[in-house]
Amino acid sequence: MSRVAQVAVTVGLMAVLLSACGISAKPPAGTANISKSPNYHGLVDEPWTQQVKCLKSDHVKFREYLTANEKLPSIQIGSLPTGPTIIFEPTPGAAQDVQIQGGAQGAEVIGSAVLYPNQAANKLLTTVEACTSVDVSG
Amino acid sequence: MTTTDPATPSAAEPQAANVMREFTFPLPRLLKRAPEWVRIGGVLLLLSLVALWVRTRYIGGQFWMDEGITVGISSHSLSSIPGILRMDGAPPLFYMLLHIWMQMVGNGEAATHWLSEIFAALTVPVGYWAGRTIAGKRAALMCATLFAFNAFLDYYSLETRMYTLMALLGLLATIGFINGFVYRRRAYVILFSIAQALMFYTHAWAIYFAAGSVISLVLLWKISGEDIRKGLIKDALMAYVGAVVVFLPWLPNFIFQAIHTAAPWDTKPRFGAPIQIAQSVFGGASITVILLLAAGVGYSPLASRSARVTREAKVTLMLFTLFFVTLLLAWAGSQVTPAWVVRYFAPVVAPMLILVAIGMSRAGVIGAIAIVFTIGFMIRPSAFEPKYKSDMQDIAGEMKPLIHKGDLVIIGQPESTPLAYYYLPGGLKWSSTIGPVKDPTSMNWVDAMKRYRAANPDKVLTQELNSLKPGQQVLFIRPMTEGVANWKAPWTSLVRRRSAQWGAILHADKQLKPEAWAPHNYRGSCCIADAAVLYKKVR
Repeated sequence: MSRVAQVAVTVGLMAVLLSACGISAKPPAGTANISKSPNYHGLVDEPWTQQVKCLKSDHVKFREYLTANEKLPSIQIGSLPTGPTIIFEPTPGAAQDVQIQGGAQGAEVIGSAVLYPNQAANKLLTTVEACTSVDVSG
Repeated sequence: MTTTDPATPSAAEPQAANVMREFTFPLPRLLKRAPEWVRIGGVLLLLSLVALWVRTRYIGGQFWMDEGITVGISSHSLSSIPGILRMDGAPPLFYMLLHIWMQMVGNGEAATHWLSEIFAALTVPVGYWAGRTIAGKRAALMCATLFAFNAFLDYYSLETRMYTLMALLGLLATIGFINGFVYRRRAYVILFSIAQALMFYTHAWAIYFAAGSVISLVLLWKISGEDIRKGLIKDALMAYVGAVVVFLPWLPNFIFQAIHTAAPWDTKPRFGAPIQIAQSVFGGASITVILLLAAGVGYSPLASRSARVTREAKVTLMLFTLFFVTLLLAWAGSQVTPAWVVRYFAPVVAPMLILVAIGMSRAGVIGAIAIVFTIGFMIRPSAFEPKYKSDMQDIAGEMKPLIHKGDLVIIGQPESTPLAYYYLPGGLKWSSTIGPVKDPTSMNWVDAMKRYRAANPDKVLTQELNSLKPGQQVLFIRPMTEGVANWKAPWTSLVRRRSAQWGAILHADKQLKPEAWAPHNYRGSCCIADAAVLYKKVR
């Protein structure tokens, strides 16, 4: 192996070593596996927690999902076209913005939720509106 | 304790020295030498001017929905206003005064707000009169100060509605009631009767005030001796019958309105009334606590057994029952037919402020400190005056260059139509989510809830859209509903839903192409704001 090749292999190995290539997670010094770290306290704050509880208590059938493009938390009540759809924007201001710009003409804005009535019956819609309003101030 | 004429200083101030350390306001020699009427007049003028300065900082602020309706109705001829109001639900006095006022100064925001300003400003000297006749000079000055620096009057002096007029009439009625029935100065009974009649013609809560005053009178009869009872029933009958006789011409309209119009946009009140009063009448919890503590100190001598039978104690009790029973009846009535919003408190503002002012006037230096705090709290113009009430002016400003004669305007919240009509240019066709609008200057509340439930969005809107030619435009204005407080009532929750249903149909219609939206700059609003999208019919 030429001197140039030796240097190249050495540099390459050092690079691999320094970048910790081959280890799925890069633990902080002295920690074997980050997923077992006692310091991990992150928790996703789902915007639908109260709404889901309310819908369940009213025996309404629904499913949670994320919208295709923006991955916004959403709830589909029953099935389209008769079931209402709730899409949660990050803030009430963002929901307001969607309405002002004409992006949700077919929707009711309640807090940060953009609720599309679709072709739902009045009774179901009343229940869904009430559940969407839970924990909304103002 | 005194039962002599409270207008004389000796009758007004005897308690203070016993209760608290007294205070005197040091006056320069020049002022001391001036006649009393000059000094008092100067103080009242100063108070009125400072109050006017505070209350006129945002005098030109844009209207919100209710003001749009008021100006719209008042723009009709005097003879047709009562007929329009039959469908609206309000009595005619303020609308007729506003009509005359607009003939003189125009229908701009500042011009019409000035009418409410004047009624609010009048409460200062009239408040002084109230205090002077009921409890003496010091109470009179306290009273005038409280009326000059008051959250309720600050807020509604900037609203082209009847609430400052109602507060002024409530003040006159209170002066008439206490002087006429408790002090038995019979000329004041006439004042009470006239004020009560005018209240009937100003706002429906006059009924609750009248009922509250009747119950107060019954109580007065029960706790009084012959000095007060003598001729009391006769005087009371004369006062109430007189007021009702004056009200008779409007009575058929009132009954019709009570059956057909109501307030479907309101919800039943719960137990938050004390908080509402603290915030809307006194300006917040801190100031309320300060005022009540000071007044409580002033009234503390009335706790003794001997003091409870005095005329002063009766005045205190009557002022309390006048506002408390009125509110209690309104609260109970609103459990059946909701009509409970803070602006309706107008007739009871006066008895509350007079009650507090008299107490403070007897609390010596504590009362003086409380009044200084009151001025400090209330003198900030931004504290209680709404800078932005709605955004319709902005929407109209943005849409004016884009919209043409014959275009269709559809309003998501039907009662916002007069507001949009006020700000948008003329020559447009009008519709709302309840159906086509013949008169966009007013709102027809007759059986409105029933009609709104029956209005099928597909059917109503399809007819409207088919009437348009290609190239014509549709401006859809709908309320922003992100908060829930305004959208709980049967009417408002249906407004929110109907707006979405109409929006969905417009959005899905292939004949329509979105052209513009507004507002591009939304500063928020105290009341109800809207968003608008302009569509063009392309085929």
